[in-house]
Amino acid sequence: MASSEELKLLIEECKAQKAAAQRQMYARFSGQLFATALRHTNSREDAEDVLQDSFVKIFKHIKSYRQDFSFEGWMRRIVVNTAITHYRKHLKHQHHQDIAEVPATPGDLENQSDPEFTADELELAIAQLPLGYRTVFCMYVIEGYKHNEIAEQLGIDVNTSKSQLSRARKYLQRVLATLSARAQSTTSNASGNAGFAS
Amino acid sequence: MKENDFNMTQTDADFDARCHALLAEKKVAAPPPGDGLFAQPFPAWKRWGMTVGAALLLAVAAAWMSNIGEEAASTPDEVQTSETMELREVLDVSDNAASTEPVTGNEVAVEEASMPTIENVEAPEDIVPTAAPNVVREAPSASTAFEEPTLTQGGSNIETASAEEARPDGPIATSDAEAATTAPQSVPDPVVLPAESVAQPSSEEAKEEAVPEESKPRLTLPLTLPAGGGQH
Repeated sequence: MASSEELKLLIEECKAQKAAAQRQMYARFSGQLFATALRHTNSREDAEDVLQDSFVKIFKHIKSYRQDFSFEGWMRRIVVNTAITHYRKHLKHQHHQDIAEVPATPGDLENQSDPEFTADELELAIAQLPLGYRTVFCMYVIEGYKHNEIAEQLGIDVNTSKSQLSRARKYLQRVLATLSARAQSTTSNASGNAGFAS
Repeated sequence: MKENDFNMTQTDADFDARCHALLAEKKVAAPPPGDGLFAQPFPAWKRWGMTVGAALLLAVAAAWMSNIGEEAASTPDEVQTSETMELREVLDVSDNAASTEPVTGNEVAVEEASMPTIENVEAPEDIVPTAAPNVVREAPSASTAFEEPTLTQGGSNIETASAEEARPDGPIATSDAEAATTAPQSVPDPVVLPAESVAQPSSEEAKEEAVPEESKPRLTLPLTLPAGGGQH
């Protein structure tokens, strides 16, 4: 409750264009928003640009923020929209890469339906997705967009959004299963070697 | 049953929920904020410039106010000067009107009869100098054969009319007193001074000699001369 009241006060001070409050806001939310920007861009440099542009928009339009919505969700939407704009700007310089062109993961791990993975492994797998698939997956799964919203934002058909999401999900499951299997085999090998040594 | 790619299964839903839980709150060390991201307080040079600008504005305003004050202080003199100029113009106009307006013979006779000599003129003691200009002009005389110089001093004009303008048999120019009364402008009453060397007809001259000095008419002139009274 105290954090909520503190956040409200911080928002009001940012609406008054107080630099100290803006610095505090950046320190509080930049890490989370930078992670979002990283998921929607191809490189760290692009993510830094997106984060900078996003905070400029946040401080500029914070007066239009209404208290009945989640402030973090509002900021993350700004980051995602900025990333999409950034993606569209650079789209003409990039070759479209379909998910079929992604190198196949070694081993068939489709039978492993519930792979164990960590956040870092998931991020690593997401980073291997083509940007279009990655954007659809992150918007739907992480940011909570609906397919019609994704289609409107990206200028694609709703079925295209659904198809790309499904294919991205399958790809991630395969990759994560592979990583999990490798980790398990590494662990078993290590334990076997340890038992053999002992 | 073949699995449709568009239909999300329970496994997919679990996978999405797990991904969301792992990444939604994830934080990464963010880069430092860029320059100019935060609201900048007034920079020092801007503040200094505003101070200098305000000082300049105040200086200009003070100079303007002092200029206004000087103008206000010099306004009465200018007004007085302009009034004097206007009065002079009015008097000139009235002089011209007086020199061209015909006078009947009776008026001329009355004027000549009441015309004293210059020796009889006495300056009244109760004359109070006024700012209004007075015109002192010699009465036209039929015997005056020369035109006397025009005397102008301060706001007073002393002129003499030429003899040609005051012909007894023709249209005779009236005195300034009559001109002033007939002129449309409100001009202070001019004073008609008798000619210094008025040559009266010999018969009248003889009659005047017979009249005693005390019974001679005396003309009290409301002559007003400016302070200082010097002649140019």
